[in-house]
Amino acid sequence: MHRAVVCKTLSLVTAVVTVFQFLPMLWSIHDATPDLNPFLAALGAGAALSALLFVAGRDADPRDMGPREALTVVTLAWVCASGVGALPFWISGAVPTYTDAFFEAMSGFTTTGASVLTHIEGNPRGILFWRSLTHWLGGMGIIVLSLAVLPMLGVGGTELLKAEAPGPIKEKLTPRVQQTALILWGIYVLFTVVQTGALLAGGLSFFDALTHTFGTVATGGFSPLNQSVGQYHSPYVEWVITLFMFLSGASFALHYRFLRGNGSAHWRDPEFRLYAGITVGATALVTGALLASGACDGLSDALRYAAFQVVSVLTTTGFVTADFEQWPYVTQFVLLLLMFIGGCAGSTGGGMKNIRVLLVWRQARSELLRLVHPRGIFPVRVGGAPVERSVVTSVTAFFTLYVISFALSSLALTGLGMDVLSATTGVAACLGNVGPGLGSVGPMDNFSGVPLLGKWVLSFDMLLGRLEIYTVLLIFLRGAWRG
Amino acid sequence: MRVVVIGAGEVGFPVASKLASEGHDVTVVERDEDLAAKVEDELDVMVVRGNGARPQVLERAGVAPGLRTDLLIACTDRDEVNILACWIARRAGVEKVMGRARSLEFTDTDTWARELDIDMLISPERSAAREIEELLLVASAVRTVEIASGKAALYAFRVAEDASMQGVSMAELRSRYSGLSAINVYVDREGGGFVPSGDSVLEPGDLCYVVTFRDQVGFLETLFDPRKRRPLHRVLVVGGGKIGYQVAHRLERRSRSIDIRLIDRDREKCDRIARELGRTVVLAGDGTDRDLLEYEGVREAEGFVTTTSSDESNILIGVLGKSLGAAKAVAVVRRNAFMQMHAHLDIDAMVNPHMAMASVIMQHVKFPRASGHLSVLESIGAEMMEGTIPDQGRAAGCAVRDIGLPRGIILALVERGTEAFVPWGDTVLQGGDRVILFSSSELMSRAVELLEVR
Repeated sequence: MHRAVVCKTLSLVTAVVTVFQFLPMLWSIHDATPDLNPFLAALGAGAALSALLFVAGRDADPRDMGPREALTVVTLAWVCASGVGALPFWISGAVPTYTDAFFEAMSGFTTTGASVLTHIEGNPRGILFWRSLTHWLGGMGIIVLSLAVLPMLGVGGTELLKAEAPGPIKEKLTPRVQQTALILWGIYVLFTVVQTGALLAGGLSFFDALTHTFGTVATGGFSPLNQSVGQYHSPYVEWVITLFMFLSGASFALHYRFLRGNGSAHWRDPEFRLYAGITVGATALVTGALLASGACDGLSDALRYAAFQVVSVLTTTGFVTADFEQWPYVTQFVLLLLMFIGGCAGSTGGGMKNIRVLLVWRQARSELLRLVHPRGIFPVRVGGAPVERSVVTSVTAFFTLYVISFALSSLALTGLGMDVLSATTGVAACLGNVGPGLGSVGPMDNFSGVPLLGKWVLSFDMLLGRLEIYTVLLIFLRGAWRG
Repeated sequence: MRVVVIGAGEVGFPVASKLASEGHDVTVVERDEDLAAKVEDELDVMVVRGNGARPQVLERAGVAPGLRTDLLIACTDRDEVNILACWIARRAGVEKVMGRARSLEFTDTDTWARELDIDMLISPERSAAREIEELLLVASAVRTVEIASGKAALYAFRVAEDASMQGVSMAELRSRYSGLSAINVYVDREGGGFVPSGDSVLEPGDLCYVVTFRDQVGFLETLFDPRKRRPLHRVLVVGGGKIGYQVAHRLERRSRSIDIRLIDRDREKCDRIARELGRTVVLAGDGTDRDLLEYEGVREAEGFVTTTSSDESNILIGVLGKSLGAAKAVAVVRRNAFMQMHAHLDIDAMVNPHMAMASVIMQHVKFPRASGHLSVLESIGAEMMEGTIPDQGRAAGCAVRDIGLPRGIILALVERGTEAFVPWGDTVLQGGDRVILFSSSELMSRAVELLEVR
């Protein structure tokens, strides 16, 4: 492990995150609210940390950036970002403890959207804006952001991109990694601009439009309103957000190809087809259940609530327009399943990703065929193209690790005194970067009641989920630190 | 004619042998010492040892500006070598260059041949796979040769014991089935084959070579063999080489309802083709493993194709498949001696992948000015040739019977514009007609001369 290069890269990433704290300060200055000083303090702390790391890594050789270094950098970068990003919440007194602040920041950067704020609207706009901005920064990835703005990260950047990008199969869109990062951020910014415009047209204030857009395109879920998007009671706003959540949950590489003139890019992609199919199927099921149980009257209302909630949970955004704990049990279970599936590889969404579900399903099919033809050879295919065996194995292992993480975290939370429903759904929601679970962490409640230690467990789960387990677990391997 | 053949492997050797026996001056370029020695011992040709893609080696073989070489045939098993050899030869002023292309994308269309400035790129494996596919689709056919760019074909059918047409003269058959566009060009009978005339009568066991259109072959088949054949539902392919792969690939595209199973002994090869193929069930196992064949449903298989690299294995496994209940066995056989044994073996059809390559080469050697395809039917000593009647030629405006074609030459098919038909004696030929000529090998030059086909 070349520690110097790790420190130097971390220093740069921390600097990028710190610099972005200037943006919420603009609101603080505009509103003349007392959260200006906390931001200045956080800015100072971030700068100090960055400087410290820079000194530690001053004679780093960028060519030392290997897979081990990259994985370590990415994990630690997210921890540093959350550590620095938590400071405004803590210093301003928006949350009582640093644990809560860290949880909130981690939830923001990992685009989970699980909150410990009890009365959201009581906070100054600067704090709320920072909260939503963490989503936006984390959505496309802190590293991708750093790669896009800092050309000196280019060497070894491919390793960094691979370690952070979601999905089992990594591809570069262009020969140069910085260009790829710029393209991804370009599409991300484009979505942000278009959605903000659409929400402004729907009568939202600039602040509301921007913060909700951040929550949407990053598939985050923080809303500056106590009752999330449901508070507007506006079908237009809900449909706009539904559409953009759906787009953000699909692969940005596909969007890029589509924008480059390949009109059938989405439809030809097997993962997108599965994603669209699950969305339509689950929406139909939930709509049907809502109508049958009388929880909603009128098809248009039922369809709107169902589509919003299905897309919100599947893309792991976590916005709410209705208290789905009052809905029929079957719909709650459908939503719980969707939390595990998540968005597509290469999207801002979390969860296990559709491509992994598809791969595991195909592998199961191959295994069944092998029982029928003991001598047969059945490569796992997705969309007709065979998938490397190493990818399939890694995906199967990912499934196992995901389930183990889920089980151990739930065990820990129940051990800390949480009830089974809240503990399991809370873990599923944090591991999948969704946000709201059921029970005491349901859509109308929040995570403030979770025991102190439990918040650290859930923060860790969020990081595991966002960096897809392997990246995070690597730093716990002894072998990674040798050599 | 001075000919240079690059590569004396399984394709190059028979080509060189055939050309030498026809009296051409052949130089063989071969890198492998054993093969080179074998060529020197067995054939009356010159041998140059070395890599056929190197200019110095080719120069020694007579491929250089100023040295008069008429034809270069590159048939090594490496496309890069073949293409490069053709390229060098073309620059050295060789009039005709032909190459073997194993990668199928080169022969999907003739665009690559044109782009590479090669007169002909040939894939023997593709031709063999095409013939096997046709043999599987036309269940009772023993041989098929595609003609008129796939609209029609030459089929060989064996007359069954209970065939309705036996004991009836050809003239009678012609009037009985006047709606059928088909012409019987040759009858192969034990003790001597012949070109049938109006009073010829077919006997059970005769192998009839019939030219007909694709859409009429289903009906024609029932005349030779009235037994009901199951449509193609399951095909077992033994051997996952280029031909086996191509057969499976073509059948996959042909219909979703065909259940294809491919067996190969080499596990790594199985891994690779399983990834390349789609629906085909690829099995890593031995084609001679009786239990495996039975388990994988050889009994219900309508087609059983053996495509390994060994003629002997293909024949034996084919016989095994038949004995286990496969309806039709097709074997890939490369040696002519084995081809001639078909009457003694319980194999329904044999396909020789070298025939296609040899046919094209012979066409260029024998009829360098002809534009159409030549098909050599070695087993009966006959040839089939496609060509165009020139506008100002002797045959244009002439009725078929007035041209004075000697007995043994048959005008099998005429394509005029978009229509195609079997000509009668009183059919008047026109300039621009595409014709299919069938004749014994010796008479083909005479036929081409009389009709002046290009």
